[in-house]
Amino acid sequence: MAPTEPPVADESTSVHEHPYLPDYAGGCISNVVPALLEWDEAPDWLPRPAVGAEQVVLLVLDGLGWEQLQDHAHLVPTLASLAGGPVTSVVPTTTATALTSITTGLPPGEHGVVGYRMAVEGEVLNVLRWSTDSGDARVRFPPERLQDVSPFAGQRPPIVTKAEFATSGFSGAHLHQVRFHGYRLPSTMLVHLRRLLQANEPFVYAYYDGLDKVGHEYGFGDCYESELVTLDRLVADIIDMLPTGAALVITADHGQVETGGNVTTPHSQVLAETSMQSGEGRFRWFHARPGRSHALLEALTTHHGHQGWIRTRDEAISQGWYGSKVSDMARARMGDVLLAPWGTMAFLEPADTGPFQLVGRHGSVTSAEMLVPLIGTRG
Amino acid sequence: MMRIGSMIKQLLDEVRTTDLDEASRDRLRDIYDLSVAELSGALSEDLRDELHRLATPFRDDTLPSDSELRVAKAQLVGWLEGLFHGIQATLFAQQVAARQQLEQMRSAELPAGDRPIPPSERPGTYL
Repeated sequence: MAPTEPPVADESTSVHEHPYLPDYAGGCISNVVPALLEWDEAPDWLPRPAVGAEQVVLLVLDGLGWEQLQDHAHLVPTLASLAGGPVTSVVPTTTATALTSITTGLPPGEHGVVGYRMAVEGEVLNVLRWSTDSGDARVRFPPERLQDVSPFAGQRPPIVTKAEFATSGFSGAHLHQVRFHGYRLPSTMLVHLRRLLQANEPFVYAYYDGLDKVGHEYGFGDCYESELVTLDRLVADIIDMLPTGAALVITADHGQVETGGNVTTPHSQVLAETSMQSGEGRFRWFHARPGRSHALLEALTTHHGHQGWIRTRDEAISQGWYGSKVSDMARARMGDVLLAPWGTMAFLEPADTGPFQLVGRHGSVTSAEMLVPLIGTRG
Repeated sequence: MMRIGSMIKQLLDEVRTTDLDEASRDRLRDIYDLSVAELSGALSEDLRDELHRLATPFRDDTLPSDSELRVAKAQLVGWLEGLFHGIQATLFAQQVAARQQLEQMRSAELPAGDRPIPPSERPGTYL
């Protein structure tokens, strides 16, 4: 799966020589919805309880990586008991890109939401906030035009997600043409799910963002563990309400790593060749000043070659990082050279920062971020 | 300007539906000329010139026919509607620009998270 990589100078990181790339043709989050809604034959990576189910609830637990699930299995007896295994996320391993792959059933190269922050018409659009430097971008970049593929094969299933996401630009991009059921609290999420199942909906998509939030803010400490325990109870409650013949399938958009304070500013020689940065701390895109892309690549290789994978736009595309097809639009939204760290570190850019310093992060192509569960059970 | 526009529109409807005697046509010609003159007073210089190029006055010596009056009034109504649409579009663009400017000023003054955006416009943020 992984292409041959040049040798890494720093021996302590030699285990990370190979990026963990998505399995776009097989067990990948971009194939889950097509397998559930469209394919005649169930692939072998689809959890058995989902096969032939009369109703399916697909629950996406933001930030639940397969490796973190294994590390904390003792805290989550319900999740640990479900049938299935790991599948891959997409590149980059970030919410904006991965959720769009889940709902549209397409790799990033085809749906074009290629990052958390991506270049659109000379500006950097923060996809999750749907804003640029000049503020709210919902009018300037209409979300359903920036990503115009109908999610869920155009079947307009009911969506159970947080009510405040109803007017979010990112919802407009990855959840247009759906029936929106907003919940304020996890307890009322259960009520929405129960009603939809009782109304015999064949497919319901549900989304929960708590674990990712806690991981970002606190890392893998006691807050993360407490959230996992709470989450496991929520999953148990959903399973309890499943009618006979209904299945619960759980997956995630990406995993996480704890970077803590291990945040580095790119070298000044790199910044000297850079006109703007997009992506995020663990998937940093550098946009070269005019005519300086070769100098930029050289500076990156010299100063950060020991810290992560460095790829030009063309290299990453030809090595299949974003899927076998990459549209011109998707290509135009990428930076000239990317830097994805293999260790537990991040590359700082002031424009990225949110309301708090992130402790847990994701975006790169390590197994901790790339592998997510695809597990399920029957009612 | 709005009042004159609506008056001309009303008159056009009238001309469409009824046959007019000589006195009415004479009166309508005067009203038309007067309307153009009144409108000119309310317009900027470039718009006034455009109106005068397009709205050629009736000849004083002969009475215009019903159809002539209809055509002239329809032309004037059409031109005015175009003008109103243009004004609406400009106003809308100005509102959008003003709002964006205001939001920028707010975000420059306040740290993220404290921005007083009305609840109806504040979407939840994915992380």
